[in-house]
Amino acid sequence: MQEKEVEVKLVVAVKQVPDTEASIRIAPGEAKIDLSGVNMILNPYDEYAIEEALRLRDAHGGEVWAVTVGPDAAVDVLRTAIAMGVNDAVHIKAADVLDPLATAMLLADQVKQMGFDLLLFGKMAIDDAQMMVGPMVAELLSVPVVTRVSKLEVTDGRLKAERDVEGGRETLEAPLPAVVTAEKGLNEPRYPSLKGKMMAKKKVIETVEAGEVEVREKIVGLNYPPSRSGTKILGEGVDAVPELVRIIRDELKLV
Amino acid sequence: MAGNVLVFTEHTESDFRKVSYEAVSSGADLAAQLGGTVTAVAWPGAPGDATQRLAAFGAQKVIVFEGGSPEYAPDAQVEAALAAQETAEADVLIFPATVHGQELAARVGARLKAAVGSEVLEMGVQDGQVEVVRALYGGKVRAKVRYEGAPVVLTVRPNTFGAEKKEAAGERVTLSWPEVEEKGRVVDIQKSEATRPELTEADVVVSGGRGVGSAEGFKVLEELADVLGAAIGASRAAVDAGWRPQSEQVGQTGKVVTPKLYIACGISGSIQHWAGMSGSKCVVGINKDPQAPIFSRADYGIVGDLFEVVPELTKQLKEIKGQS
Ligand SMILES: Cc1cc2nc3c(=O)[nH]c(=O)nc-3n(C[C@H](O)[C@H](O)[C@H](O)COP(=O)(O)OP(=O)(O)OC[C@H]3O[C@@H](n4cnc5c(N)ncnc54)[C@H](O)[C@@H]3O)c2cc1C
Ligand SMILES: Nc1ncnc2c1ncn2[C@@H]1O[C@H](COP(=O)(O)O)[C@@H](O)[C@H]1O
Repeated sequence: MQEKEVEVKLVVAVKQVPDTEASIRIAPGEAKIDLSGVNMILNPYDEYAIEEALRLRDAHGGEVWAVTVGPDAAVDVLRTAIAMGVNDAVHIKAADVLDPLATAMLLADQVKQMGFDLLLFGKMAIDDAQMMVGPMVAELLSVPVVTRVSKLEVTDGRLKAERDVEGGRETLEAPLPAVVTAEKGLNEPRYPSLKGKMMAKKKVIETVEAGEVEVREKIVGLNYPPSRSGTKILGEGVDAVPELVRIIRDELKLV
Repeated sequence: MAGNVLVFTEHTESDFRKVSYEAVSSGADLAAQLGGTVTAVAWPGAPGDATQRLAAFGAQKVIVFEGGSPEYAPDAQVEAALAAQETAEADVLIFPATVHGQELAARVGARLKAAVGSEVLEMGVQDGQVEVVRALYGGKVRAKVRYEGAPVVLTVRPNTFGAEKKEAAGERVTLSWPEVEEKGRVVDIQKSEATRPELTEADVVVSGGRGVGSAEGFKVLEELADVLGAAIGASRAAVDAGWRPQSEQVGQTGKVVTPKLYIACGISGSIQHWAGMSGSKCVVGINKDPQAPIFSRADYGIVGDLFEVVPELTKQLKEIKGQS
């Protein structure tokens, strides 16, 4: 293959998470989740990040890399990313219990070596729901960050990003290299093509062993959220309205 | 661990956001358990009587800055937050889980090499260590998480902790605003017309799904929201159909809401939608299908056509309001 000049280097951090439909079981007698038999997927927000990177590459030329930190099985999400059109990937092999800082430090070290113009994350991993790793990596690398981006333009070494904030919408600009985290609405992620899936299957993915990291967070207990007592059906149609009005007024005291 | 707690606030033009008072009040409780003091931080542009306002919710000290401008300056905020942490000798830092607060918490957390926990539901102390409760896997389980040592950076979601009045000294501490050149810049801020409360802060949310049928269909929900002073929410189906903006989506890939009352109209009650509204105190489902999953999760249900039920509800609530 001919060497092609790299115009922009885009790196996307992706995480493997349980399917949103999966029922999550607590392992008996332990403060641990039993994930056996649970279908694992690419974190939905990371799909928006990948899609945006692919579009930027197609517009500007260059390469998209995906990187994940996780156990052996996590390589699957890199294959999904490649099937979507990502050029190459790196798997940082680590135990599955890390905290946001540890993950961010491993990712920061790796992407620093790789170099990037734009580093993309999901807004949030839907399993641990921290919304931390992206802006943490940005800070560790001292590059600008815009979180929860729902519109992005990249021109002449700068990015322009829009996001919803409480009370309005902001437009921000920053020079590259930079970090963004992707919010739903940024784009409509593509499905992996058949050809992409074939390529992903054959691809040799580079694995690096994670360095030592300290984890200060420990899960000491797990339980299911308090169950609601069940639905009380107030009735059918408009006949049920007076009872609901009574609840809103007398019990909830909202009017 | 000295056990000092530092609470960051966020304000609008007229006042601190409610979540700021909730953060200060719960931060004061945590500091008491840790045997330390609680200090609040007011950013440039906060109300002039910031110290009194925050002291009323338990702030023993209030850090205010000299020389800063009220404009959003995230890079300067990071440095200012680090300076505040040093001044307060804080082990635990609490931020509002707003867009700005969450981003700042992560950046400050990285700089302090902190253990971090977002959107905690409870905060306490066990064996001298900070212990919190967090929702994992879209609210399917709750974890008790313990952090070894300090510093610890936490964020709190609106409407999760009560804002209790508790008079404290509110001693004013002045720091000078750091000289920082911003890496990026804000090009534009478009304020939304604030006719309704913020979705994440609202006491009541009236939410619509595919059953609403069209963008115009939401008019009946808006009329109900008007009587209740509610925010409008939407399911992903309604957002993806283009009937409502993305900013109103509730769920796993949308917002997490915590109102006292959540009225789900024409929403089936999928697991992903539930992930965003399970923290509501009371959930009412209005759905024409008696088999809809919402009727196994909501507190109350009305089986019926939302276009009949909702206008009638609006009418009867209006009558009550007219009487009082
Ligand atoms: C990764 C992932 C993330 C997701 N994230 C989210 C998310 O954040 N938020 C979210 O909401 N969904 C999310 N979803 C989608 C979710 O699975 C459901 O598809 C969606 O919530 C369905 O929306 P709905 O309840 O409005 O529509 P439907 O499931 O189609 O339900 C419509 C309901 O309206 C009722 N109805 C119809 N007409 C009337 C009428 N006139 N009066 C009364 N009732 C009527 C019907 O009986 C039905 O129960 C996600 C899915 C995935 C895979
Ligand atoms: N183990 C991981 N490997 C790679 N990327 C990750 C990992 N964990 C989190 N991320 C990235 O950080 C984002 C936010 O994760 P979190 O802070 O855990 O909510 C995710 O959407 C991913 O883009």
